[in-house]
Amino acid sequence: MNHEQLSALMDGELTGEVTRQAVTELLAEPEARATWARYHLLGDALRAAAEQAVTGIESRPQTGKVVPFPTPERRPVSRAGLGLAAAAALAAVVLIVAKPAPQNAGAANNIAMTTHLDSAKIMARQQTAAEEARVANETTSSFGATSISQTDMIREDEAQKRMNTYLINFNEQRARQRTPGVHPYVRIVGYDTH
Amino acid sequence: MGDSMTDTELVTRVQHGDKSAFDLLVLKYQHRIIKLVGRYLREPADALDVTQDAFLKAYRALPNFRGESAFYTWLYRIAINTAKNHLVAAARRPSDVDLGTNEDGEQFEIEDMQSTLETPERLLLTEEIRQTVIDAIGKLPDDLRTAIMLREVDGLSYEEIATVMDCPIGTVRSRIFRAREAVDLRLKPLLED
Repeated sequence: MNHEQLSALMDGELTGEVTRQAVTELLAEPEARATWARYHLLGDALRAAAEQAVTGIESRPQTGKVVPFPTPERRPVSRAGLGLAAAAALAAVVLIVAKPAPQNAGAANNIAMTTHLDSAKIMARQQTAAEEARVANETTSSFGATSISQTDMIREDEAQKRMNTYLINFNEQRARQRTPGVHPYVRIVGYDTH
Repeated sequence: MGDSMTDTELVTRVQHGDKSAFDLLVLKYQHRIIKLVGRYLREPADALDVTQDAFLKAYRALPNFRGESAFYTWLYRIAINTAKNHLVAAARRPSDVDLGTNEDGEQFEIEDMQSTLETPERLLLTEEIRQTVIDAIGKLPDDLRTAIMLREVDGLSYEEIATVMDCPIGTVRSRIFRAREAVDLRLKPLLED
């Protein structure tokens, strides 16, 4: 049997009488029947491959063939990390905001300089403060306490000087006026930076 | 696909007692039926059994087939019903006792028919076959490859392919045949081993 005719027969492309003759030949020839089987197998294989390809395209994200866009890993924020950030921020605020009292020229000069620092210097200072806070954190268990004591150190230094000046002046005046009910050097003064 | 005339001729032969004509229908449609049945049954072995069962039922019922629908549409319906019945029966029966029944539930002799039918296992579409076909198709000239793909994968008629490829129908017929022959050269030795 002519295989081209067989090919057309299996595609249903032969006309009435030709179809009947072709089928008769096909049924009579084992070799033609084997070819019929292989030709159909070929078609099945092609359809299966095409289907597989489509399925592959549809399921690509699930198969991992396309690498997803990397997203930065979100590490859990530790308390120490939060403390570091808070300390750095607070230290920076203190350095900028806590202006020195003008009474003490030396200390005032040191701190007052911050008002004239440009942004780069401010940032450098913030980094320094953050670094100091980090070092302090390594030696103490409570980061918050460290940052507070550092702030207090700045305040205390300034306030004590103001306090001393005040007490000396007060006692000198007290001695001169002899204010009743007030004992020299026993006055309780609550002091803050302002 | 537009091959109902060939199917009709083969069905007529079967109705006139030519069992070998039914073999050709089985060879033509077995993989499509396996795939169809496989949507209902998880086990490949069950799909093969049900496919064979469906062809047996079709063969039994073929004398009553009037050709009001295409043969494949009719076969498709039988295959789906067989798969559904298989699921129902599997849920009921405790063991693997398998009875051959027609669509009316009537039992019949399976052994008598099995000898005349190509079993699906004989020409199973293995990965090796699939790969051989794909490799062979990949080495074809573009015009042959396009023609065979439009026919087999997209199911276009020769006339439609001629329009798409802007060539005469005779050229389409020749290209499809040459493509099949080229692939068959690789496929034949594989199946003869």
